[in-house]
Amino acid sequence: MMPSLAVDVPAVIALMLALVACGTLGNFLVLRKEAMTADAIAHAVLPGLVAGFLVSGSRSITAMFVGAACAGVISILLSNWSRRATQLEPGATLGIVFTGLFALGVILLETQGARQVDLDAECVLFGSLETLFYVPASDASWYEGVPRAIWTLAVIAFLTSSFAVLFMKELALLAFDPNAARHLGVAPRWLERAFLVLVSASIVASFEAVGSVLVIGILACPALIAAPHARTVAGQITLSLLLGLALSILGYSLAAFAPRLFHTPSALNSAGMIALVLALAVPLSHALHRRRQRKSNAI
Amino acid sequence: MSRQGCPLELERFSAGYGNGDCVVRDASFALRSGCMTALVGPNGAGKSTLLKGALGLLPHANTAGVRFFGQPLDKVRARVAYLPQRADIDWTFPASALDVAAMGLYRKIGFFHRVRGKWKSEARRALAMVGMESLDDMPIGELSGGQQQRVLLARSLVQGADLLMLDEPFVNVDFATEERLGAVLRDACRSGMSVLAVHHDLGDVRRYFDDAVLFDGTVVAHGSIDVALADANLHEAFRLGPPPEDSIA
Repeated sequence: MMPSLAVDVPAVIALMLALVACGTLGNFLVLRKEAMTADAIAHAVLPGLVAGFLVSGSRSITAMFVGAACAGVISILLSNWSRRATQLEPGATLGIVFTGLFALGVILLETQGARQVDLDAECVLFGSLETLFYVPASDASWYEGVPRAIWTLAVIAFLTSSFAVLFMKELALLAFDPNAARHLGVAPRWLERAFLVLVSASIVASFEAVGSVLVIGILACPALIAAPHARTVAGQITLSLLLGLALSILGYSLAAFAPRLFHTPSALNSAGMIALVLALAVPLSHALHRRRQRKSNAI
Repeated sequence: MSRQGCPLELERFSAGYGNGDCVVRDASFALRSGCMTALVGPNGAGKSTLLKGALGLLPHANTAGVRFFGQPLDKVRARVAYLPQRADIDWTFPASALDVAAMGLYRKIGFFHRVRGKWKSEARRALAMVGMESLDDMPIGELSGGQQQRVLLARSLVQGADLLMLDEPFVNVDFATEERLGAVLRDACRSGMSVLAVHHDLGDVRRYFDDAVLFDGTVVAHGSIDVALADANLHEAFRLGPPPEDSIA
């Protein structure tokens, strides 16, 4: 089976863009020890997505984006409020908020969204990588055949990577020593809010193509894989994106060639396989790092 | 450089963590300019909370009565440097000693600019002041505890601040490092800088500090070491019961 220009290339481009959008900011979440936030936002935006869909009556990217962004911001506000009100640790309040909002999203999805044909739970969980076809019309320009999800991801990937490059040192200090960042006045509130809005935007933009399971995977796993081997923040981000892309293509290929490799009746779900490969690479990367450390200590 | 004005003045300052309990209650004192002042008291007395609260780093602190050089912090932020506890820092972070020292310059460097040669030279000079110039490329996770503390001090010094607020700068460092840090701070004070440091060891407080604030949720005593750390005050702050009669006399 040969890779298809019309089927596999759009899927790989979408993967690459989703990885740049989510993986870049995911590094800062991991450095801040807030990888759980990625998980929380990825779950919490679901009711916003469904609400946007219900209000607009279609998968209008604007309506769903606004709905999801609102849900993301509400989840952060609720989490901060419950942290202050209960004095629980941040992870616990995030857990309470995101499970509650995700449950609300699933209820909305099953009771309202199930009546619609093109928004279902499986699509939300695993995305639509396999259906991102390049279909140029004979009487239209080449770019009109590019799936809409790729354009959306390209814009968000450009915004997030520009944000990270422009505010690299401020975001790094905020992760390393938030008190010093605030005291020095280099981490104003708008910067932290812009960061969280862009994390929400990356998640929402990636949802349609790769689904919620892989969104969580590409937010946290590439950064966790690269972290033990990096000496600078920029180095960690670069390494995480390169390794994330290589492992994603590996996962995509394993899913596509599953009938030949694993004797399955059909190809496996790409997003699920990529998430599995990324998740397995995290402990492997840390084990390799520990082994290298033991060797250097022995010398 | 003119460093006039009281470096830090607290007037009935209170702070806490928002659970209804005030960790710092009605604290009032004023630092002497150009002096090293120790903030001492029992564990859990709220010394770190006082530092963070005065610097506006806690959401539940009333900073109306806090004045730095006679002004609110926002107007003189560049003149105040803060060194957190070493335990508050993630030492697995991907950064070198030079990267961390240069962080103290981020305010001067400003948004959208990278840390270029001129700024790196300044950070290297600060590392040299604390004897860390030969390890500037070393990842911070591979430094010893004392070396990490020196890097944090370099980050505070490179700011060129007039007041250093240090949270336990001498904890978990060896004697040589403590001596080195103490000497650097004394030199800084001789050039007009003021220092307020949370300090635990009552035994060596006289070696480094001029003044002390004895603190137990509120100010028990404040002044020169001999006045602030008189036996009667220590017994009150550390709840040791009444001091022997001869020490009162």
